[in-house]
Amino acid sequence: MRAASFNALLTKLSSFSLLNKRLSRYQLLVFLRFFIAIVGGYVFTSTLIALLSVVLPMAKQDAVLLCVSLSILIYAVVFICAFWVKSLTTVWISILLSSGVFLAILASLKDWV
Amino acid sequence: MKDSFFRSMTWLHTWVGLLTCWIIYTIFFAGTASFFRDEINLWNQPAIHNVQAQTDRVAAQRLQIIKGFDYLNQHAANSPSWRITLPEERIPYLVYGYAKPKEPEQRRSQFVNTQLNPNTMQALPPFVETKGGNFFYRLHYQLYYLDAITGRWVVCFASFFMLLAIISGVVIHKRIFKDMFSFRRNKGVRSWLDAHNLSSVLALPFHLMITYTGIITLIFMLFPYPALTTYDNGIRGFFNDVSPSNNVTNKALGSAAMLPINTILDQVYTKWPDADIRSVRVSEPNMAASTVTVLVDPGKALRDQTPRLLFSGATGELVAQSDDELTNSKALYESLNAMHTGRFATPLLRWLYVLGGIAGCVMIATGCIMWAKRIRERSKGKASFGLQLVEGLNLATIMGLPLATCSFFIANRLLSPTLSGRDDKEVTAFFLAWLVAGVIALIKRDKLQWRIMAAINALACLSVPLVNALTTNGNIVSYLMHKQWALFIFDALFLLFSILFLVQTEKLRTAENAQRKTKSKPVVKPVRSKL
Repeated sequence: MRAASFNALLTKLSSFSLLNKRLSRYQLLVFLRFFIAIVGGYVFTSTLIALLSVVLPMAKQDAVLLCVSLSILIYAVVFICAFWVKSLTTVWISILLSSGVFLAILASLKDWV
Repeated sequence: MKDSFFRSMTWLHTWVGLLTCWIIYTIFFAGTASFFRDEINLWNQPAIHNVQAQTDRVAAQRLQIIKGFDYLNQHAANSPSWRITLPEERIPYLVYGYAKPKEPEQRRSQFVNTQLNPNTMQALPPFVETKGGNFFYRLHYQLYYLDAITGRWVVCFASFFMLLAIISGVVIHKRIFKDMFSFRRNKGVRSWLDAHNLSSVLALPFHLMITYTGIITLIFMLFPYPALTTYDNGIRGFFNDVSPSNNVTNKALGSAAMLPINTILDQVYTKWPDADIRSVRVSEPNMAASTVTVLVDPGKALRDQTPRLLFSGATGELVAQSDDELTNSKALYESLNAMHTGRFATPLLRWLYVLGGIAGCVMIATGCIMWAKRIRERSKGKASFGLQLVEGLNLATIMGLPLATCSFFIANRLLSPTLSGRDDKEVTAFFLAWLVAGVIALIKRDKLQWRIMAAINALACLSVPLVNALTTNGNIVSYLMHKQWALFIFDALFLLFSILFLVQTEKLRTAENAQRKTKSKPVVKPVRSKL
């Protein structure tokens, strides 16, 4: 069911014309894959290390330095996973969901809401 | 995204590699040159070619600093800041500098510098305007003709793609050990693949390290979020916390005579008896709020922040200092940064860094050439726009950058020393030469154009030491006789590259002839690898 509606969405999306030229389904899939890997990976990493730097039980500057030192490792692993996992839907959902959770915890800890 | 992990990683390796290879090649090229930043600065500045290295460099520092304070007090008692930069092993001269009062539109105040020969304490002949090694250094991490921040973002993402290309490259690589020893010559695409594997695998730890740590040097631009969430005043608050600063007397008002610098130096030498002082900076000299910062060479320690002591200039009280012992996180971060810049490196290690950098350039160049060759084989004569674009960028970048570099150094010698904006004209020469390579690549991208570029590069590399010999008092032979190793190696390297380009020209000529002969015969299909 979910896959079917996703497919319909893809077909709809790929019919949007870019310079009056229809994107092929494959091109759109590649674009969505790169988008979630680059932007999604970035958001995932940012929210995760922002949260970690707040909760890690160490001095403030140490937490920040540790988190930024690890950031690229995390980003790279997420990126590779985004290309590894076969289902694009799974990739999108897991990255959006986990980033959302990180952000929610962070917001509640920092009293942003 | 493909059927198997192996196939999707192969796909990823090809595309992230291809998308960024030309920028990454430029970054690697400029970065490799930056390991010789001080040597390039030296070569570009003939006024300091004959300054002898001091025999008692560290012992002479105290007197040099005291004389510097006398000099600055005499010439710029009311300047907003002073800077005394002492000679280092690779920098033979001494600088006394003071800031001119800042104009409203300036972000940083301009310094008036006096360079001295530390052996005679006499002022050196005026320096020519040149960017020297700093040009390659800046090009390496913020490109050129781009806003600095935009350039850094581009470099950051290109480097990140490079990191992904390396990781996926390792994953798809089945026989890492065997490939270290296999190189099949004259086998078409197979040979390019072997060269690509060889240069990647041999220096793999270097490639991984330098790419990862490279991004870490710009990390607070890429990921400011931990600092933003942890500190109320964000990045600024974080950096204030990390770097020692004078919070004791910097708010004091009024003027106050400076304490003799000797009393401050006594404290420095009590703490670090063998201190090799790099520089002494004074903010607001002759004011009650003045701070004297003494920066000391970290030696072989993996530290990025130079160890320092901060004193109140008026009372001589120690007000702040860098950490003596680093916490684990700090040690991790500092060593990642220090490993990238390699400032701690001894000459041998520095050469290994350079060899690693050259291997990186070869890895990238062979990678993008291989892609073009393979597609060219498959497309059977009909070249798509994409293929032509890649072939053009390959030729323009791989062969254009060496030409541009030669032109930068030749311009340094040929431009009149009194020309205004001379340093920018050197850079213009760099990019004009690169443009020439681009135009050649625009016309056609066959073996002939590669051969023409190789021949031009051979000539250009040869003319760097030649022009140097004609325009300055020294030449490669006199450098050897007077043991001026930095200058000798600089010229010798250009001769070496000239020979290499000559060999390339010759190889391409025989390859072209062979191609012409076999054109009538059926072409033997080269073995297509699994990759």
